[in-house]
Amino acid sequence: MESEAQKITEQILVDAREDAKSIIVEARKSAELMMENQREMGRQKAAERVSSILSKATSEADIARGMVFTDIRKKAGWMILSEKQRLIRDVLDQVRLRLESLTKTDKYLLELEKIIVDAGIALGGGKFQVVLNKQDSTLPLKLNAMSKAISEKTGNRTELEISKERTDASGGAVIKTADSKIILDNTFEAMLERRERELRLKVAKILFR
Amino acid sequence: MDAEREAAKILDEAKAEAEKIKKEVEAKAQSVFTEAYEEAISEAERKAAELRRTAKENAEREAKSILQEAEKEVKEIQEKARKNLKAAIDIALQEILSGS
Repeated sequence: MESEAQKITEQILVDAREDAKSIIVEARKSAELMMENQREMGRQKAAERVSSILSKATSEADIARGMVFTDIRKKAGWMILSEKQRLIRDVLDQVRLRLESLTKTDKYLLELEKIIVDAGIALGGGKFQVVLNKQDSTLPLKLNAMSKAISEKTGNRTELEISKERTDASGGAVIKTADSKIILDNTFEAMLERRERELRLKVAKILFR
Repeated sequence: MDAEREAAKILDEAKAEAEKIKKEVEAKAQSVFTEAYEEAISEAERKAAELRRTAKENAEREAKSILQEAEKEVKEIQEKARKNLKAAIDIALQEILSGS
């Protein structure tokens, strides 16, 4: 009997200890669950701001990337364009030098006469003053033959006279009507300047083909 | 009866321990919440910085490549210009002298 009572007593204590253990295990589980819930709530609370931080960074990165590319493409385009412009300018500078050199050759007299005749034709013939630079004014220009050529081409009687006025141009001539109302500047510098835009396009086509 | 009292005492102590655990968790709840919140924000900021850094590096790399390509094109242009220089000068001279 005593042994039976002992067993019951022990069982009561064993049960109590197991129950106590379960209470604590449950309390710990519950605590862990609560902590996990708090963590999850913290993460959820942060989610909106996290999304905003990341989307702002993505957007900033895209803008920065776009700006870099725009600037760099502009810079690259400018590098190529400015080099092309430089090379075209070199050609036009060479052309100026060649024109200056031409004035020192035998061919120049014929070229100058042609320039004057072309101007006379463009102006429709008539009485003209031909303004030259100091050096060219000494050249043996065939004024009568040139006048005749203009007259034949325009059907208008033409007279050419060398003006006492002088140009500073390297070559070519300025042709004026007798009353100076119409002036055609066919000096080398003026012809180059007048046709520079068109020449740049033509030179570019040949230079970079 | 002693066993029942002992059992009740064991259970009371367990309940007290459970209550203590609960109170400790309740006390820590706010800081756990805040810690998780701040950790998430901090991680996002780290990712954002990484994103910006990577984007900058990629952009710089690609920018370098664009400039190298442009430099290559400039060299090609110079080579073409060198080959065609005489023809370009002759054409320009011809244009001026024939189209006065």
